[in-house]
Order: sequence, then structure tokens, then C-alpha cells
Amino acid sequence: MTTGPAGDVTAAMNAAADAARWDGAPAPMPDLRDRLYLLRDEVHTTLHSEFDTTAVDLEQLRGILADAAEKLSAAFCVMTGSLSELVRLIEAAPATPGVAPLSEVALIARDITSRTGSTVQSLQFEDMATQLLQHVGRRLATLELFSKDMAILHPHPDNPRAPLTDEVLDDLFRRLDLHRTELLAVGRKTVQQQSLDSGGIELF
Amino acid sequence: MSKSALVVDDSATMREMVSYTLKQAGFEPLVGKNGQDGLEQLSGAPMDLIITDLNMPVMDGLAFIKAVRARDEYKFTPILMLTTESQADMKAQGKAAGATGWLVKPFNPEMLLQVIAKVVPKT
Repeated sequence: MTTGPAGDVTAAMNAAADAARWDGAPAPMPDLRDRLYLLRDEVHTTLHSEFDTTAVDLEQLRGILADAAEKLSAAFCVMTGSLSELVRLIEAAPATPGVAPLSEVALIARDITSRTGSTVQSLQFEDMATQLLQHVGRRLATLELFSKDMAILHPHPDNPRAPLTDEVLDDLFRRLDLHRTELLAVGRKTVQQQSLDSGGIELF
Repeated sequence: MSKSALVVDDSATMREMVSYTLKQAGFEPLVGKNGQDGLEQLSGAPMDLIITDLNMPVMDGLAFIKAVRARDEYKFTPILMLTTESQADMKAQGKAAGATGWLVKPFNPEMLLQVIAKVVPKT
């Protein structure tokens, strides 16, 4: 009884070891072959399932990020709007003798407002993180194509143990070569930044 | 009199942050979610500044800039590309498409306003 691909690898290796012990006698070989086929099928099924799960996770993560950033930026706009209004009211208020000048409060409010630049910069993390997640998603999608094409090694669903023909293998190599090109095409990562420091500026 | 601007980015947060910064400098920004949406927002209206992202669905920043430059009324409108990309070949493509400048995200609001002051003619 095995519990997944890892267990099947062990089982297949055990079967191979048994085969070696039997010195090539025919008895254990069907067992080894069966286990290898099983291993291949399980790896394919597991990979496919993991790809699907990961794609859903990435999409959810993107949604969570966008939602969080949207709420933060909305709060930021409300806060800065309130501060600007406060400064405006203070500046319009008449001075009261004996009371600490309101202009000091206005100075504080203005100081807070002037420091909003770093918040504006930080909130841009969402866009960068989203693009990185999209990049990961594209890479995974291409890798999944490799995995899917390996199913071609199962050329006859009714007879899964049918021998592989040259035609099937040629077709597989052609597909893999195509996917390699596709994988290289998505190799360019759109986000190179290592921090939230402001990026370069170039005027043409 | 306030100046007009168009901000095109598929990220709502980026649109919000760029618009916020532009408002501080007296601009009244319009927004577009992608290049196609940006073109629809333009609709022939005079525009003092356009800031666009590069990687967007439906129509990317390069195609958007080319489409904008193809219109006589926007031939000389300053267009800044604001993107996460910083590769030289991408910048060259942006320049060839008609971008006025290339800014790499994240932007610093003060720096952005300095750049805008350089490219937008004073009225």
C-alpha cells in the first residue's frame, strides 16, 4: 500500500531492488512495471491537482492584496482630506488672546500631510506584488503544459501499456521544444525592484 | 485654472496614488483602467499630461502611447510611462512609441511632481 508519489518511488525502488536480487528472473518485473506506470499516473494527477490549487491560491492572494491596498488607499485619502480641511479651518479661525495659537496645530497637521509621500510610495506595493504573482502564475502555467504533455506517454487509453512509437516520441519532443520556447518567453520578470525605494527617472 | 491629466493604470491603488499626487499640484485627473479605456477617456478633450502604466490587460502602455500619438491633438502632450519595468530595451520601445519620459515604480510624489514641472509647459 503506498500513500502517493513519494511512497510509489520507494515501492518502485524496492521492486527494482527485488528484481536485482532475483537476478533478472521474470517474476518481479511486472510488479516493477506496474508500479512505474502507477507512479507516472500519480505524479501526473498530483501535479495537475497542485497546479490547479496553486492557480486558485494565487488568484485569491491577488484579490486579498488588491482589497487590502484599496482599503488602505481609501483610508489614506480620507485622512489626508480631513487634515487639509483641518488646516483650512484653523487658518480661517480668528486668533484668541491668551490661547495657544492655533497655527501650532496647523503646523503639526501640515507636517503630517507633508509626510504622506512615504505612504504614497508604500501603497504601491500592491501593484508590484500583483505583477510578481502574475509572473509566477505565467511560469506555472507553462510548466503545467510540460506536465500535461507527458500524458502523451499514455498514447492508448484503452491499452496504457502499449509500446511507445517513434511517432509519439517525436510528437512529444516537438511539444516539449515548443513549451521550452514559451517558458523562455515568460522568463522576463517585469518587477526587478528589491525594495520600495523610489525608482529611476529618465526623460527622453 | 487647474490643468487636465489622464492616469492610465490597471491597479486601482496606483490610479488613486497618482491622482492624489496630481491633485496636490493642481491637476484634475481623469483615470483609465487600461489603454483602451484611456483612449475612451481622452475623446478629443485637451490634455496637459498623460501618465500611463506599461503592462495592462486589453491594451498595454506602448500600444496606448502609439494610439495617442497618432491623434493630431495629442502629438505634443507630455506622456510619462510609469512602470515596474526598467530594462533598457523596454525603455527604448517606450521612447520609440512616443513617450516623453520613463519612471520606474514605486514613484516618490515629490520627484514625480518635479518631473511633471519639467515636462508640462507653464501656463
